[in-house]
Amino acid sequence: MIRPQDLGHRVSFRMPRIDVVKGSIVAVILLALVSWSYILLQDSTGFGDLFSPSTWRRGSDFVGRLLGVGSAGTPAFLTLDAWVDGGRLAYKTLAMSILAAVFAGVAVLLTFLPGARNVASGELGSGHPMARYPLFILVRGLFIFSRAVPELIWAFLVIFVLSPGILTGAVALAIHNYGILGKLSSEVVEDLDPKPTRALQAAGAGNSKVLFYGILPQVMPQFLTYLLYRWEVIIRTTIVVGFVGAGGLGREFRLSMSFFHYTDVTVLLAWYVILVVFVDLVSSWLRRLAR
Amino acid sequence: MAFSLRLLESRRFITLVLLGALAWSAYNINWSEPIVHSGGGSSLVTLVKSLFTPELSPSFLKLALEATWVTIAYAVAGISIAVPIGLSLGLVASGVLTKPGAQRRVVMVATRLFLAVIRSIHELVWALLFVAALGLSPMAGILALGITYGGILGRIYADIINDVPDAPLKALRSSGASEWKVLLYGRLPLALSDMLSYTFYRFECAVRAAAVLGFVGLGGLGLEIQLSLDDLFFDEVWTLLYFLVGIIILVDLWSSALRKRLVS
Amino acid sequence: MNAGRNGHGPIYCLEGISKSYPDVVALAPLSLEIRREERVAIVGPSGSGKTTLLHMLGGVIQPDQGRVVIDGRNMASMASGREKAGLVGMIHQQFDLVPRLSVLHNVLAGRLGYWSLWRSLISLISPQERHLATEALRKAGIEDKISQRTSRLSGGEQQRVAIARLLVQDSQVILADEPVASLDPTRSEDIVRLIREIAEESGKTLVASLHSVPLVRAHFTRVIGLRKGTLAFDLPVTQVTDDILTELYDLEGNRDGVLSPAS
Repeated sequence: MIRPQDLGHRVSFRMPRIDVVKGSIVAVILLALVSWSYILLQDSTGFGDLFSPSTWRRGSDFVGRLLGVGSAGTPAFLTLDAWVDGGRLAYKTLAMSILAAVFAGVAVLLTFLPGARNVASGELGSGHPMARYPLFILVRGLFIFSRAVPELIWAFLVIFVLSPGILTGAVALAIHNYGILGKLSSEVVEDLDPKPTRALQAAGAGNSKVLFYGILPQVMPQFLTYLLYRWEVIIRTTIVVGFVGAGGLGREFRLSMSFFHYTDVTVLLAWYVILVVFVDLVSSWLRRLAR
Repeated sequence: MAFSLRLLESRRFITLVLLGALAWSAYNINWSEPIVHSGGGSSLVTLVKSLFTPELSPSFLKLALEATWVTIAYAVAGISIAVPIGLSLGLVASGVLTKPGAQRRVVMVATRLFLAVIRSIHELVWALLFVAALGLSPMAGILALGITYGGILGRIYADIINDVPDAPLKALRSSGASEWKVLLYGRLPLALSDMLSYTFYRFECAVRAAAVLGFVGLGGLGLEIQLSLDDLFFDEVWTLLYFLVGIIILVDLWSSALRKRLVS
Repeated sequence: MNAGRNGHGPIYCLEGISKSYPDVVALAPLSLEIRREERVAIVGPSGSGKTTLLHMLGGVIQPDQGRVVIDGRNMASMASGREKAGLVGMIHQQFDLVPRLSVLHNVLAGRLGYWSLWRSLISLISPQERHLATEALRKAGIEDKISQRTSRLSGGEQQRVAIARLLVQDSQVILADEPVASLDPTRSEDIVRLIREIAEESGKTLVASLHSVPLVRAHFTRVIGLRKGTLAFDLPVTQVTDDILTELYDLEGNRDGVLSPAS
């Protein structure tokens, strides 16, 4: 341990301020080195396999089977039935994604205000300080917790309680996205200009009036934009919650993979990509309207 | 025509669309079956109870710590593959190094489309496909992460590189710098802080994604959570989840500290 | 310094150059010559085509018609960055430096036209031709700022960095587009004097657009007046009277060009 006085006159006694950016870059490089060496020192990393011919043969075999090489009978993607079935599942999956977005949106609208720092400090709106701070911590804690746990894990827990189906998937998706949307919306409130709401309060408007005339109109457009962005992410994730039995494309995808029905997998993947692109288009159109 | 356009642009129209969508999706739920399945209620009680009694025995904590480290290592490895993919494809997609013209537009659109396709497929789906192709190994998961996040980063990098202010670049060009040199001395230094801060945000997401990769059989928190769930040891599940929440909070704190410095 | 060693003819020959944008004629056909070591001020109200003219002199934009001949060669057909870098260098109203780079790298960016891509890349890690940058910054009077981040500098200091960049580029012609428009009067005087001294010392040609009449009178040899993209007058500085200037700005009824009265 080197004490400052040991260094004598050579060093001024002010501690050098650690530069967050430089420190982060060094930390990231170290982390990357340690992580890679940890992974590569494991017994079966698969890293060497990447370059072995047998892996490539297996890989191209797999792609070939997705494309119907060597499948018994007609490949699924050449039959109308498979596409119709897939379409029905895609339809259910779309419903799941909308429900999830709506659940998350409604839950956020009910709770995002106490989660904003400037509301908790009384800078915006009013309310008893003894209630505001505990509420702030509670809501923020909820946001962090529900956001930190991925959708798939929520689905695993939800399936213990709700019957399998699109509602289960929607609830799991909604819990995770509640945390993300809640954090984003509270940050929007924190960035609000307090002047218009103060003017309303000065004019004698009560809390609810301040909310509806001062805060919501300023927050809504941004909130809707975030919600629509999250919808795009939700539709991508529907397939994942489907894996644990939440229904829709994901469940069927998982089953087809397990039964090696690879040409069915191709049809389901195609529907999945179509859904994702469709939602992206609709969402960007609605976002333009919401602006 | 004018009337219908105004209707399309009105807020009321959006509200109607949203309400319609909600009604339609609610209609799609199978209401005839009970929503909460038999025993669901008691499961919920057990679940919530164990929330307050997580498994804290030293041996299990050690296991949870190890699983946490594996998850972080996978996330870091995945991101370290995603960044070069995103950087190189993002540069091509931004079109800043090629001469204007039809050829550039084709290359730009094709690259952006490619990025859109690889990121539209969820990393877990990529992981399943890689496991089917490569066998069960960490590389399958890391590649899956690297590809999805490469697609996401590439698109964002391209946008950031395109959006840097033009005036300093013009000044560099007027002193005879080629587009590559303009990139090195103008675009990249101007774009760097935005790119870094977005990459860090994505790192947080990658930690979550790496945890999920456990479910296709790759190690880490996801695998441990699944094993505990299979045995119905909910108290263990919560312990593992607390570890996951812990690292997410840490990464979040780190990235917001960094972002604050980069923005100012 | 290499300025003035090539040829003896005029440094610039503008042959009927014009430029128009979708809804406005930026510059009507214009022909003139600029001799070596002249110091030319371009004056005129906002939107009179000063910036367009300077950008065409710098080869940043190409004329719709006509051509810019510099040192006997057609500007449009100048292929290599190296060749252009030795001929024209430019400084701008907003300085146009890269804020996140250090002062040193921003100055050395003036060498990019001469360096190979590889050398440019290495220089970011181990700065090349550092002595040129040090010398240029000393002349510009901000040697001590060499390792600072450019965004931390004041406006006047940033313009000095831009001038140092121009110095290491060592071009025959210095173009300056409203170099002092964002600075206060005292700093403006210092900066314009510095640019003039650099031009004079090493026999460079200087072409600048300016709004301040006293600065034009003190530091330039020739004045070109532009109005609505056409040439209003082209006179030695001694023959430019207040009346001529007042007429240039007044005819438009356009006063946003900030004409400071002769003092």
